[in-house]
Amino acid sequence: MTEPLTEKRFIELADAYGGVVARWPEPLRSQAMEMANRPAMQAVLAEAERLDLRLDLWGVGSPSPALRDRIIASRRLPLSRRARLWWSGIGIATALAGAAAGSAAASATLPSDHAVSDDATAFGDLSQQDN
Amino acid sequence: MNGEDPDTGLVARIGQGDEAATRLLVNAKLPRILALARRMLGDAAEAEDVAQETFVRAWKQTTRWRPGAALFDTWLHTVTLNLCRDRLRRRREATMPELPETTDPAPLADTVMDDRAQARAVQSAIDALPERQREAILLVHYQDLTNTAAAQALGISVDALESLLARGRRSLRFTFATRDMVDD
Repeated sequence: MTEPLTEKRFIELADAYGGVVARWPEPLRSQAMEMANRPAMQAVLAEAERLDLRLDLWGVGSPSPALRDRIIASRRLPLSRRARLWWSGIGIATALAGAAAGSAAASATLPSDHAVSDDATAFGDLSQQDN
Repeated sequence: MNGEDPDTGLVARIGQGDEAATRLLVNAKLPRILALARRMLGDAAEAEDVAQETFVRAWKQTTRWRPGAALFDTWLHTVTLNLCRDRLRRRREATMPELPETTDPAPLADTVMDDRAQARAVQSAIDALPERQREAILLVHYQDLTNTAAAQALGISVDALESLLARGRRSLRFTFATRDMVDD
C-alpha cells in the first residue's frame, strides 16, 4: 500500500529528487501532484526547480555518427554464431569419435580443459578478455 | 524490478543477429550512456572509449540476457559507472599526490558568464561533491533513472539514495549561493 504523503515527506522528496515530480517515486506522484496545489508546497517546488534549472545548464553534446557506426560495427554476431556452431560441431564429432574409437582419440581432438562459452569466436573466447 | 523490461524484446532480437535491432538499441541508449561517461570523466575521448566498451559488453549479454532483478537499461548504467570508476581510480593513482582540480573558485569578475562558463561552473560544483553523491545526482537528475533503478545501479537502498541526493543537492545549493554572492 502506498504511504500517505505528508507535507514533511513532500519537502523531503523535493530536497532529494528536485522540483520535477516526474522524477519522484512513482507510487507517490499522483498524491504529490495534488499536494503541489498548496501555496506552501508550490514554494517548495519552485525552490527545488531553481536548482534543477541551474543543473540543466551543464549539457553535453550528442554522440558523433562515427562513434555510433563504430559501436554498431562492433556487434559481430554472425561471426560468433558461426564460431559457436563450429565449436559445437567439433564437440559432436569428438563425442562420436570417442564413442567409436575410445577416449584417447577424443582427448587428442580437443584439450580437456577447453570450455566453450557464449563469447567464443573464431579468435578465441572473448569472456577471457574481460577485466 | 517493477513491471516488464521494455528492452527485453530488443535485446533478444540482437541476440539473434538482428542488425536493425542493434541500430535501434544503439540509437536509443548511446546518447545517455555517453552523457553519463562524459559527466563522470570530464573527457570526451575517454567517454567514447567507455561507451564503446559498455556496448561490447552488452553484445556479449544479448545472447544470454534473462529478465530478472534489473532492467537492461540499469545494467548498462551499472557497467558504464564501473568502467568510469576504474578510469577515475587509475587517474587518481597516476596523479597522486596532486590535488584534483575539483573547484572553480575564481568568479568571472565583471563579465556575464556565457553558457559555456555556466556549464563549467555547474560541472566543477558537481565534480567537487563526494563520489557517491555525485553519482546519485548524475543518475537521477541527468540520466532520469527511477529511484529504484538508480539505487540498483549504485548497489544501495532507495533510502540511502535519497540521503545521497538530498545531501548532494544541499551542497550544490550552498555552492551556487556562495558563488552568486561573490558575483554580485
